[in-house]
Amino acid sequence: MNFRIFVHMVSFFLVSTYGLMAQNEKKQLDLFAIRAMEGCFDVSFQYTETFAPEVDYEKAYDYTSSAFEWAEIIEESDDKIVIQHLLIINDSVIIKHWRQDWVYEAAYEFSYNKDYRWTIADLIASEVKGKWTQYVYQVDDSPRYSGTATWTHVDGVSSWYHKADSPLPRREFSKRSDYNVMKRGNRVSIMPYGWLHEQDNDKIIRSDEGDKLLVQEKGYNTYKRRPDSDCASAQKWWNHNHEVWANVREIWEEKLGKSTSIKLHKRVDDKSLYEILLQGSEVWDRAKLESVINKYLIP
Amino acid sequence: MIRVLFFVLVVFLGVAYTWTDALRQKVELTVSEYFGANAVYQKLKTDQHMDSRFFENFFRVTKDTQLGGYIYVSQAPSMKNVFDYMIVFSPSFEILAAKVLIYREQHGRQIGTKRWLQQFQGLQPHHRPTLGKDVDGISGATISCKSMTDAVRATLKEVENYLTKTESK
Repeated sequence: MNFRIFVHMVSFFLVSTYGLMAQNEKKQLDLFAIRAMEGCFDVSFQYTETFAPEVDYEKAYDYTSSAFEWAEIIEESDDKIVIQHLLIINDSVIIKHWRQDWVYEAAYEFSYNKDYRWTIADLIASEVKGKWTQYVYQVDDSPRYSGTATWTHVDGVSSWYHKADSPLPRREFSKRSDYNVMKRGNRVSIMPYGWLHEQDNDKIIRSDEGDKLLVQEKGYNTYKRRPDSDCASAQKWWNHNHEVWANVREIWEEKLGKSTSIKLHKRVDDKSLYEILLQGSEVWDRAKLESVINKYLIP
Repeated sequence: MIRVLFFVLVVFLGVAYTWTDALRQKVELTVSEYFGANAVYQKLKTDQHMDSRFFENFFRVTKDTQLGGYIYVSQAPSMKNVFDYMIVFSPSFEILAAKVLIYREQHGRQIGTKRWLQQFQGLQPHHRPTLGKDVDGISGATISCKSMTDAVRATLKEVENYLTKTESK
């Protein structure tokens, strides 16, 4: 064998192996960062409106709130982590909260248009290489927003940033009608105390003529870690209820998998889907769940 | 001299300008905010001896035929342009609110904040607000602050004249 060809082959082998190792190492860091969002947390929510293009826009009062939350990894593989958030009220009342799924090099994304309608679109493999898609679901596990980006691990901080359209946040859902789409700038950063969810949001008036910015908003939500044992009541609640919600997830996954878009009713018979699903007295089997969810889907 | 000419031009424009759709929408929104959804505004019927230029932009607001109050819409100069403002009066001509509706440059936009404009709330026709005396300015927006304060003072003077002439009949 020609010596030069031999050197090229060895170099190619070393570079490829090093590349794969580096890629795998990076993915391990990504997984470590995502897993760090699991745990028992004191959460503080702070939002303040910042810049408005119209001079007569009167900024809303700042929104501040706090919560006590258990976030549990309920599904995990090399390419997917599902984290369920549960609210703990007065140490004993548990309310299912939002859910975030993280998928490596995902196949699709859903994006919010307006009027409670989402479009589901395939992602191009070459464009999602090495990236993670975060899917955020509402309390009733219906879609909220999703986005694809790269986790970065720089200067000791792991973070992920993406901007995605979404419906109005729960805190303004029934209070505001002067905008209809929130373009959420989501930055998740893993911090020594837990994690930070920073937001740079645009409140948008979307019509057939296009988008008009109403006002921008800064969000600063901190998740400060407590011992897992403080959240024992939520862990117990999830053990007791996880099967019902596995069915709910599966039903939504099927609906999203079969469609290119979905449109939902906000309320049916003056009740939102989460009000029905979260009521404790009902015994849910899969058929009953599907029938309820179908009522909220607009064909 | 140039500034004086500019001010004269603005005063002229302020009484003769045509409302854009955006301005009309904002006026209507403010009227419904202060007087209710079905409130309507109409020009005042005034005698010829009154300043017709002023009353071109002065309106009586009614809701279900009941008097709700009055509004005045006009323009005033900012540093390099003009802005549209509105003053909302109660039935007894006390200022309920002053609002900047459209502002056309980056410099001085702070005068649109409710915090600054609320200094005009409660003023009555005999009041003559003066910047630096009974109205605080905003650093970096002095020209627009002075302009808005002068506009409110001039409006109150016109309203007082109107009341004097109406009552003396």
